[in-house]
Amino acid sequence: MGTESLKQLGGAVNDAMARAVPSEEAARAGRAAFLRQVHRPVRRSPAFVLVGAAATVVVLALAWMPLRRARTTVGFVAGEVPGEVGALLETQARPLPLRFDEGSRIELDPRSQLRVAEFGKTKARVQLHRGHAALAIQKGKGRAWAVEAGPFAVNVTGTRFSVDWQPEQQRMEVVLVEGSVTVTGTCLKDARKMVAPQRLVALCDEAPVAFEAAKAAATRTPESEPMPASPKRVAMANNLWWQLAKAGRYQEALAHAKAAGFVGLCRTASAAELLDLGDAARLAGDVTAAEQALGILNKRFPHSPQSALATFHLGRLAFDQNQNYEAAALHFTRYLADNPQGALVGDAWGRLLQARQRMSLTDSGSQAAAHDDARAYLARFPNGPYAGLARRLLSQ
Amino acid sequence: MSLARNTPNNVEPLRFSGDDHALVAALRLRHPGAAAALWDRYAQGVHRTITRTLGPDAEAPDLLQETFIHALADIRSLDDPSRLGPWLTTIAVFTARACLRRRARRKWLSVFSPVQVQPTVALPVADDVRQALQEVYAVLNTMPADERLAFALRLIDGLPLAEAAASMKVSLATFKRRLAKAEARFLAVAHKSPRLRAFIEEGERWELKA
Repeated sequence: MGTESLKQLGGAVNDAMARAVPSEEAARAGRAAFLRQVHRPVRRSPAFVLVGAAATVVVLALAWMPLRRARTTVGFVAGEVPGEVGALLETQARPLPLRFDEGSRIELDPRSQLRVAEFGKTKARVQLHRGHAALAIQKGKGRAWAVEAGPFAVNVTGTRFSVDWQPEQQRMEVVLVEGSVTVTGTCLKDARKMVAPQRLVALCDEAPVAFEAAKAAATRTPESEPMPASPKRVAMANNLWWQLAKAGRYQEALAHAKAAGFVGLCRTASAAELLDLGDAARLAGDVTAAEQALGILNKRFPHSPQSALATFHLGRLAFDQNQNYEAAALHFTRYLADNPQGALVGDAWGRLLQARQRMSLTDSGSQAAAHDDARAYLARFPNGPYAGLARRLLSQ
Repeated sequence: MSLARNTPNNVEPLRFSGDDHALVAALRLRHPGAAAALWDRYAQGVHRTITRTLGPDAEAPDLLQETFIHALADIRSLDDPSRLGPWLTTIAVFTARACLRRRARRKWLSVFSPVQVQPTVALPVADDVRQALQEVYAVLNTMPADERLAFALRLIDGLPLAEAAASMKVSLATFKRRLAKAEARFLAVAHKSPRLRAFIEEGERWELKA
């Protein structure tokens, strides 16, 4: 009697507690409260600041001599070998770290191209030809840094940021983590000042170089839908819909996204943006648009964490909105296969078993799959919250 | 070449994307979007741990916040970023334990004060299930915090023994001892409740739907 009946009691409690999910509004409020606490500025007492400053002075004084000696050489190391100004650095599968003697660092992502075009006493110039680079530039070294990406330039003092440049799309993204930078470019009317934490996406309507324009045309897939008339329009809408979605105005967010060309937006958005767009469409009640955004997310970023969530949401849409339990089962099965340790594994199993149960009501041929899944669930979670359902499926 | 996106609105708050290794690195570097990503990825799981250990408790949202604040403060102590999820579960368990101990102290201190009832949240389940839940957690409230947590993690949340022991930071043998004590204590008290006795001894089951 004892342990087994207690396990069943625990399972029943768990099933009931599974309904204690906070409402969407409460969940949003909780998230916002947490982020407010995290980003609250730290206030230190004057005494603390004075002690900290004194300690810093002592440490700096002790470190002064070796730093002076190190500064006499000028150069950088790419990976493990000395770097060469003007040489094109190209990464394949692995990232490449660049360390500069002044203390600045650049991490070049896989499948990227970068050239250190100039590294003088007062000026350093880096050209990102393709891909993604994260930079941590030391402050106060008397050297003005600039990162050039196609027609854009990011002018730096001391800061941490990353630059992504996709020449085919003429799209540059700057993610500023610390400090400030100024972005200029022939595509921009005015210089744009950024202060951390911020992100900037800039697009040019036309390719600046004929060679790159030709390549862009060649890489466009034949089955892809035409891009909307103006990528600038897409870029602006990209920002607006996202802000509306974050404000909980899903209908308006979706309307803006659609006005700018939904598919074009899906083709230029990042994985995180696509997930937000899918969520906005789902919460606005537009199942087709949600499925489209999430489907494109899965296609464009198949190995991203957002793709896993997209698969789960596609399953939920198929289950809740379309009552297409077969499609739902496929999505949840895929989620479980791709994310055996994912955060939503428990929910995916529950939904999968529920989908199997619904399918077995109308299609007797689906019982074998239901039995397989129920057995697999019980093998992994013999006392899990859906153990009762799994046993019922097996007894059918 | 024409004008690109150049409106004041095209600068937006930073967001983070990447796997758990990248997320932990970003949290350590205080990447501005990392805290939100941590919440988005794990809030549901942590909420589950808290609600299974405490029941339908109105304090659950506060404990959820507390767990994540502790996690951010201690992120440098996480040795293996691939264990981010279980590590958060451990913090959630210890946050819940601190809450239970706080309540126990308060109860002891307020022995001469009017009785205070811990506020609960109403679940969308049938009345008799709601009452049964209250009785289950009322029994758990009579148990020492460590035994209650062992019971909740293993029998309600359904965690494997090793995982449940790890989340309480005890050896498997210690966890098993606690669980055995918790089971015996629960059965002894639960027999006094007709509803729980019917479930445990007579195999009566609940219908969840309200």
